[in-house]
Amino acid sequence: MSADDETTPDVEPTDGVEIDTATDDKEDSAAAEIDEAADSADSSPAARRRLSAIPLIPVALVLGLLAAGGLAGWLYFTQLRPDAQTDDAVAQSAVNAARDGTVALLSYKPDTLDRDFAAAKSHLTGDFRNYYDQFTKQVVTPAAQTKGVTTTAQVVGAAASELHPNSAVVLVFVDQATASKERPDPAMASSSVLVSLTKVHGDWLIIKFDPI
Amino acid sequence: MADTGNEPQDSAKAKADALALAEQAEAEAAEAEALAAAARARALAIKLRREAQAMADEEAVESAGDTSEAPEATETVETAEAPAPTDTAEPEPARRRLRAPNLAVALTIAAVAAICALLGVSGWMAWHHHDVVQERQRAAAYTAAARQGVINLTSLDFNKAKEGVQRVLDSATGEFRDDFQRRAEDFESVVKDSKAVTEGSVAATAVESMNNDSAVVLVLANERVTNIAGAKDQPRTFRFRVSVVHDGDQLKVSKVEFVL
Repeated sequence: MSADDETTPDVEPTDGVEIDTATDDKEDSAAAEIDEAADSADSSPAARRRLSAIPLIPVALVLGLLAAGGLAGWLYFTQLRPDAQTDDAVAQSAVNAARDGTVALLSYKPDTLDRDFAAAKSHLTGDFRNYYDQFTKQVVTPAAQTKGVTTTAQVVGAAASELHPNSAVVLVFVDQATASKERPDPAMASSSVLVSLTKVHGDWLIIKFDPI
Repeated sequence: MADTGNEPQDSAKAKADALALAEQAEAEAAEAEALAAAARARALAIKLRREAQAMADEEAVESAGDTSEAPEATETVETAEAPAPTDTAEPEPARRRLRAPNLAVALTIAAVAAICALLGVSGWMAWHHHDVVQERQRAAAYTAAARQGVINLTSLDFNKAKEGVQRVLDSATGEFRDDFQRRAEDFESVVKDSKAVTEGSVAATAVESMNNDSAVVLVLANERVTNIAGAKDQPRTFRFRVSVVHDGDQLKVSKVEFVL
């Protein structure tokens, strides 16, 4: 009894010490968990769950989507759209604009000079528009009025020589009949013009007019 | 003696008992102290856990996992077992997994379908562009054939009239070849008689129309003429409308029209 009694007190405090160390461990692990939770480090169970919740298949799908989307976008912007902007219909619209512009530019009558030149100017843009304005006012109008010049242009052939999304060069074969008070019988002249056009707000306008 | 002998024995026993009792009391006191320390430690642990829980600004699912751990920890302190969140954590992902598969499958199908659609559209765009490039190459080939036909026609030397005429015939086919063949002798003698040397060049070309095996090309040609009549490098300009067709594996001129 006494031996048991003597040993038990010895054991009990050690148990207490053991409890203390156990609680210390718990404190340490609790503190460690605080740090981990605050840092949300990879070693915490939640983070590990999150990592394993990002499997390879979704990542591969997202990458595949990005790659396929990138390819489609690249093809659209570098090939499909420029191709569509230079197709036959666009070429035809540029050729028609060059035809109409050429006829307007080279056709006028003494009675309607202002109206004719104003109509012609609506086909033009840039420096050439300014040049044409000046040239018709200072040179053509006085001469046409005093000599009574009537000239009528006719396009006998036109086709696109160059075509880009926002510019075009059209080869135009022109026949021009010019009559005046002195020469009532129209004189025929044939010429060829390289008409350079530029797209302004969806319309082809003449920016250069080079007889060749 | 016996009494005295017993007395010291009794007193000794009582002394020993008293000592033992004292020791026991001490031990009990120590035990109580130890228990108190343990209780303090537990209280501290719980406090730390609550603080940790408050501090951790985590998702509801994860904080729920922590709160389920916290009350359990008071028991695990004494058993000194590692906190086992498996029992409490199990139902959470299980519930998640029930909904997640449907969403994951739907998203996977949608992503695969989108990738297939994008690749299909890309394939179509590439094929379309290939077509456009081929058409441009065809236009360039027709233009080159028309240009060469016009240069052959406008470049003649009376010293080599026969070769010149043969070159024109070689680059011609169909209607134009037959026509030119018929007039070849006259043409040759005119060139020889006038001692003509002409040198042609092409100033501009444009494809007026085109289909799979033929094209019409506008050609503006300049020609410099030197002849017995006195012309010396006299420039002349011609406007041609040239038809080009496939003749075997070659492109040849089938029609030449002066645009007057």
